[in-house]
Amino acid sequence: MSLRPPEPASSRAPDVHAGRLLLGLALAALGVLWLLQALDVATIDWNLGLPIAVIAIGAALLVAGLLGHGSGGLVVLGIALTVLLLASTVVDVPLGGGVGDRTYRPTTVRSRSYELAMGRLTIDLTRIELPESLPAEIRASAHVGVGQLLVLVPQRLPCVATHAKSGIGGVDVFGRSREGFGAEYRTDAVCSAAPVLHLDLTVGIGEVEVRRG
Amino acid sequence: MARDRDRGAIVFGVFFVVVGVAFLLDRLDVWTIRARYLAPILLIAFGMAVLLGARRSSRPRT
Repeated sequence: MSLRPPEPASSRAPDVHAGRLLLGLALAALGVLWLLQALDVATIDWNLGLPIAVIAIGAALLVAGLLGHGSGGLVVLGIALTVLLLASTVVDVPLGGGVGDRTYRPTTVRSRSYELAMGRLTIDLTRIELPESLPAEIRASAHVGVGQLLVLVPQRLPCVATHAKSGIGGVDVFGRSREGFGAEYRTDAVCSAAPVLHLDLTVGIGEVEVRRG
Repeated sequence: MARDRDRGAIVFGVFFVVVGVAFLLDRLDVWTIRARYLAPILLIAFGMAVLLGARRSSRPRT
């Protein structure tokens, strides 16, 4: 009868799966944040969640790499989240504002904000009645997630400062157009006579157009 | 015996941390990421990460 010598105790540290470790930490952190918000202890800005998740994946990969553990699917997950982060930064789709075709024709001088998730949004400023005491400026901002945004500017308002942006699509401001990925057009008012109309217009996917009405 | 470091995981880890911090600062309005430069910069960075991660160690294999 032969006796086998006892196997030497392994000096290796126990394997820690980086993906599972991160998933567990992420779930626990998410739960804590959710609970804090539910208890009105803190207001959580969920908009920051995606970049923080990418940082966490990077940190987990760093630790896994330094310890010589396998990275599992963390690289794939990180790439997927980075693409999602890129898309959400370029294409900012508002959840409010509804869907469909909307036309607004304000008649009074007042700074306004418009929003539409999907569809065609027309802002016709040609019916604005200017009071005798002219304001120094009028501000209007509009945001469309997917679709078209058209702003009609009256001849009576010659001074217009425009910032128009489209994540994917094009902008056309008084005949000057930009197209493609992250199309943007920004101009200061070409004159200083009151009132100066400030337009801040963004579309996630689609077209922005500003023209005289 | 200590394990070999995983160069690919380290490089991708640094890449994701840098990308995450850049987007986080954008969302905190510390700076603005311009969309038209974003895709090519990310592609370059990702390519560099792949290159650095693929680089072999100079130590002989056993």
